[in-house]
Amino acid sequence: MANRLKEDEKNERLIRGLLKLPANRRCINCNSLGPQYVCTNFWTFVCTTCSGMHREFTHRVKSVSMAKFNSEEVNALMGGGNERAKQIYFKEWDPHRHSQPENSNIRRLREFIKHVYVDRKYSGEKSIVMAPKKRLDTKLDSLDIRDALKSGSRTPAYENTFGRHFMRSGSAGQNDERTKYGYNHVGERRDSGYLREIRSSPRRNVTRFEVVDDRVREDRFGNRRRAEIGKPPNDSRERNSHKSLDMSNLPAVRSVRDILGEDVPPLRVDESPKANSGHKNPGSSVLQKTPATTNGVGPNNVKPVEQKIESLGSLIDFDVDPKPPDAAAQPTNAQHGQTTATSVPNPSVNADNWGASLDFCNQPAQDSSKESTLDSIFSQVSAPTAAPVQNIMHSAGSGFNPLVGWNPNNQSPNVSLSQNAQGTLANGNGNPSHGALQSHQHSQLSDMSHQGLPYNQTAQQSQPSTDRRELPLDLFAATYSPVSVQPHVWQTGSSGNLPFGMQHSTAAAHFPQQSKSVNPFDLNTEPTTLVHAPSFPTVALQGALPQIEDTPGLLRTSSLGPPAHNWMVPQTSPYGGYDHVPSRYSHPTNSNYHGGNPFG
Amino acid sequence: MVGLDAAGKTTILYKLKLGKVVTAIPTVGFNVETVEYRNINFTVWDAGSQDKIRPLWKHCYQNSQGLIFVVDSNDRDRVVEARDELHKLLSEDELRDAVLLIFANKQDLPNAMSAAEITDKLDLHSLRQRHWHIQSTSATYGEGLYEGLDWLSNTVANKKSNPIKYKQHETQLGNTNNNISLVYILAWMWELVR
Repeated sequence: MANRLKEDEKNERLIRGLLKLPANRRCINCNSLGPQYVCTNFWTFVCTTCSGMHREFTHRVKSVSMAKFNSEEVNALMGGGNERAKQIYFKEWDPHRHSQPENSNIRRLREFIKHVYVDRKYSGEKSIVMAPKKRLDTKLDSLDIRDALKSGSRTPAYENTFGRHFMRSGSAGQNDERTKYGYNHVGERRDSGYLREIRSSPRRNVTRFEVVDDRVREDRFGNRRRAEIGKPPNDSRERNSHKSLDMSNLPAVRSVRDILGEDVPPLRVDESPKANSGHKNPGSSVLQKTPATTNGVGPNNVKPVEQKIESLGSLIDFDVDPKPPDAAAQPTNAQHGQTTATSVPNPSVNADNWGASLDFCNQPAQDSSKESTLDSIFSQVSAPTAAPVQNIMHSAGSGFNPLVGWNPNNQSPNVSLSQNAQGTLANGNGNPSHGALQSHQHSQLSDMSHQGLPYNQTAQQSQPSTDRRELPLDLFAATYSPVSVQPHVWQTGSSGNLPFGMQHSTAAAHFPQQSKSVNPFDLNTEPTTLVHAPSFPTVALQGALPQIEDTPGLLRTSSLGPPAHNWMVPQTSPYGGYDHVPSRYSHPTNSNYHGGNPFG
Repeated sequence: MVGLDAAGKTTILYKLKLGKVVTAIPTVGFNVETVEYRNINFTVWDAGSQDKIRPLWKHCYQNSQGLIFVVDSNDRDRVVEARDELHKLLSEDELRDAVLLIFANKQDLPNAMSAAEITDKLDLHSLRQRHWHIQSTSATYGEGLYEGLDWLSNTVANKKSNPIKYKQHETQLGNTNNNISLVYILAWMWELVR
């Protein structure tokens, strides 16, 4: 008993000491002097009136003088207090625009407390999502949000939350009146616009993509790996998986947006430079979301330097480790790329470029209008600058080999690179970096014959160079079982694609650069001329867009025995085998690339 | 009327007294109001309930015939604390003969425990020699409050077999004691007949 009394006294002393802190001298809500109550939900010091308000919201309130505090509560209070709480719940509080309610205005006080602690209007978006957990009163709000999140179309929900947020903020600033609400809305909208600007339009796109990635990731992981590792991916399987992935991606993307919306902004800003268009966004978004995965990959990328073969293995590892990324393929890749990029700027950049190109192919395909030349693809990835980069690459790469080298180089060292590439693209390094990357890649290619081989394999698909294919297979097999699977795919794809067009198309769709490398000679000319590039893009577009059909027809006419599917398959197969690459491709294109992705 | 802090005692009191929901603040000390219902005057003491002032309850419940214990049905974390407080109260000698009315308050909240659940949590079935009743209420909506008072008045009246208690009752209820006395006398006679 004595000890207990002693402890109580001690705790009360501590709390009274806390009351002397400047921030705790006044009620956090109404700024009145000498708060005598503690709200133990938020560990704030509040006045008597506000304590009553808090109780209306089922927040627990304890009197400093009339209640006993145990040591845990005292510790929590020391870690909390009004200062800390203001950082959380008044994070977005603008004293110039909002005013604290007065102690005597009960109604306003009630509204205020509701906005701050229940709706968490000023604590940022995250809090809004998380808030539901704690509140009973606000269940309705939270449920609404949850429902919105759950609903297929998350984007709308996201917007709604934003709208709410703004609305609330507006309302908070003023009284309950609806008219005031409207007024506030205007102000809030401004804010929202402001925020959006900061975040940049790309963010939105990115967020969407990210969302897709997230959802897809899980599915993809399971499916893909199973397919790749467990069994060699069948063309049909891959196609199906891709389709399914795409399907899932579309809705998922939106949802991700919503989710990411909150977190993404910072990442987006960093990652998605001006260059990044909507397509790039996905990558960036992915990066944001899957930093951990990317980090994991990052190390691999760094290690890749070890050896070419090892690098290949690392690539494979990438796929394996970043399974989620694989599933999310492009997004994940992008993430990896970003992470890697950060860690290893140059290689990552190359990889990024590569991945970006691939992604672009997929996504860009959608942008048929752009004509989907490789350049255009790159440009899409890195935006306008991309095109120049491509040129640079071509020039530097000396065409085919460089391209091939690209992929291999990227792969070996940059398995993550491909991923990185996306990230870089997103980052906006894309344009300039691409050029540098390309040069790097080329150099790497020349250095690393092994890497070249893998790429060649991809290229080989288009062409009947079995040797190359075999080599890559061996390489993969050595490092990973999945590799063997990949080869199968490859073979099937390659067999399907007899003609150059096929090769090109496949290469273009999956790896624009790779495609170039595949048909080193032809490709080289193509990239340089851009004539081929258009065809590539068209292929990519086929995967992604309806227009594809037209292009497919062309391809077929050109002797592409295998339809777009074949294209897709080869692409997917190589990627699947190689891990991330395919997934990425599939991701960007999503629905169109179904064949490519094994996610099914 | 007692109960843990923030159980809704003050809100109940003023809902009964004024018919509307007041903005309650944590009660320091107590609130006392007389509430007339069915010609019966209830003198209700609403005692502050922060931990350190709970010992002051005894100054409120002396000589009371009925004890209203208010529980926050939504506060699952502290229902154990409520149980302990309740049983501590019931062990008080002054409340030996008091009837016990439990208000399972805040039933309007979605996560509120039901009256049956609270009965278990409060271990009410372990009570012996005690007239008790649990009533689901929502002070803000005024639900269940008068039903509880009905039971209380009836029970207190029926329990007036004790002359001393009856006297107290008489003095407390004032004008209405005539009616009550009739009822009581009838009850008393019934007992005698029995």
